[in-house]
Amino acid sequence: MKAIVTRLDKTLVRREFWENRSLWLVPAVVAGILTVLSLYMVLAVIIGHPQPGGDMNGPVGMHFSMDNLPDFSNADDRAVTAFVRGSTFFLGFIFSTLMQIVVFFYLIDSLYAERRDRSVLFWRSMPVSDARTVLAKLATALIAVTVITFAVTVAFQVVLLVLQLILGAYLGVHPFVVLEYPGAFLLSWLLLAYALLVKALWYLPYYGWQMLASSWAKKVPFLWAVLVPLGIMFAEAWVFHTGHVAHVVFGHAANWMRLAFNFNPETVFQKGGDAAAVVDNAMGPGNVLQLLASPELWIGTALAAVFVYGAIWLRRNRAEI
Amino acid sequence: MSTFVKATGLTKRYGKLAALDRVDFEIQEGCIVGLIGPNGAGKTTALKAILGLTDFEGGLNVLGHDPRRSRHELMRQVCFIADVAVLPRWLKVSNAIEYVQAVHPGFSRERALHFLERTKIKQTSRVGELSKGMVTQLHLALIMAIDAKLLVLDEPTLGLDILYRKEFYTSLLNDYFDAQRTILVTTHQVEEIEKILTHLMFIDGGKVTLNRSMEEVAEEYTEVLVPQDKAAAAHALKPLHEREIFGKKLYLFEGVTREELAKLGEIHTPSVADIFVAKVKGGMQ
Repeated sequence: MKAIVTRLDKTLVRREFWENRSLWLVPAVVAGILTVLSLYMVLAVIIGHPQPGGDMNGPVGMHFSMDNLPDFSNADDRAVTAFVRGSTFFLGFIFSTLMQIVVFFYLIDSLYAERRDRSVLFWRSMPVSDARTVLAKLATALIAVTVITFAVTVAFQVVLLVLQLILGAYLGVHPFVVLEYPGAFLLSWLLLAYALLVKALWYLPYYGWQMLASSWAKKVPFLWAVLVPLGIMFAEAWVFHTGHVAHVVFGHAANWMRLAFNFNPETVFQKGGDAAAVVDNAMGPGNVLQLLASPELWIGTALAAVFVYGAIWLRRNRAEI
Repeated sequence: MSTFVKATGLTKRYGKLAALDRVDFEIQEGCIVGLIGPNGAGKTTALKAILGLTDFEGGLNVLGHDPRRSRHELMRQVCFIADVAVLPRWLKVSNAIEYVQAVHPGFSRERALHFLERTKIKQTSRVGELSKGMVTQLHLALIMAIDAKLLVLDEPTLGLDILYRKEFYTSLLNDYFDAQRTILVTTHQVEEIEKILTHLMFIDGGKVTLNRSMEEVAEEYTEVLVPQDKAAAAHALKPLHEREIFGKKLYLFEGVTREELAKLGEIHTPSVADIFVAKVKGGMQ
């Protein structure tokens, strides 16, 4: 039996990166800028204040106080885990939101650009089926981008950790306790991978819709992707004075967190109590079975299948603008 | 010699207009077929049907495949160059080679590099940085490196200067064409390809109005330069087309023997363009 994913498929995905350099350039540049900024802060603190300890003035009038720095000198296992998990999820949230925007622009162009410049005639003169091409584009958004998001988040977290260790060592805080719990990192990265994977699956219907709009539009696929759902929402609000479509479309975007984790905004942002325990619990793996059994996941996936099938059909039968 | 393309009752309608109207034709192995017709005659529709780029009615068999159903399998045997600039601007030359190598089992990287060496194209260039002529050279180098049976060219030299146009057909003949391959080409610049054609097919108003080998065409069509006093005799033989040149009449005959026509005046083999004008004008009257 032939392998399902072949060298051909890898090349199809690579092709997407040749065309859409923003897929790796944007996260790389943003991570680079954030690294430079963090480095600047650390250096500014160190250079600006030759005498460690006590209060100090940071760059551009920022005021640092020892009270604001996390004190790890007597942190325990749980506090470290919560800190590591919190920072992983915070960074993961930033980078995955960034990639969400990049992927949106990638997908709405994915089946439109080749028709606009007529290169579809070249691609379709090669022995690659339309289904395979469209699925490779979807896999790029789904799998390749998830891998990139994971890698950038982890790499940047390591950079931040190193900077924290340097700063901590300089300020005389003993931060090395973090390193005594390497398991905290491994587990939080495992959870990050899980979160990104679930999010990608959960967002499939949006991806499918964006591809359908891209293969349908004769011009400005952006408007088709955005205005059609908005139009349906306004029509519903106008005729029935209800907002079910809007609720489903926007609500779906956030629902995965509740299912994939024990994440409940009310408990997480509650003041007081054992903060470490709350964070730890909220960002635990949740109920995986409950997630897999949720009809919302499978209805969304079925809808995505319909959209993607439509995109394949349009490329096969109506490829020219 | 096997039949590569067989169309029976091939029809394509756009609304009420039939771009192809119950067309029958065959294309054999080892031929260079020129598909000639006025704009909107159905040439491009016929090519698209053969390439599986459009739906149609009737029967069409290309190398044992129904192009509607199995385009991507067909494309292992069939190559296609549309008019210039269908290679995307962002594509790097080295990536183009890498891509075709990965997706096409019949592609030879060595051959492609060999063809590219003869040009000024650098592997590091992007298509957007190349001139129109170089883009066509690149596309041709990629296609000629593919071991395919049928090559379809749709106005491949459109917008190129004369040097590139000459070179395009020369390398196609010298480095690519052989008895196991067939080339199907449409162009408006008929005079450029008529010397290399083995077969000629006219398409007009959705119908195939001529489909002959070039030997048959040379036998069947004759041009005679007739002095005024013999014009009536020439007219009696029902010429396909007539025009005046230097005070003499130039008649184009279809299916009249050369011996008979030699009595009327000086005979020539007409150019494809002349036959085309005669046939299409005949159809218009």
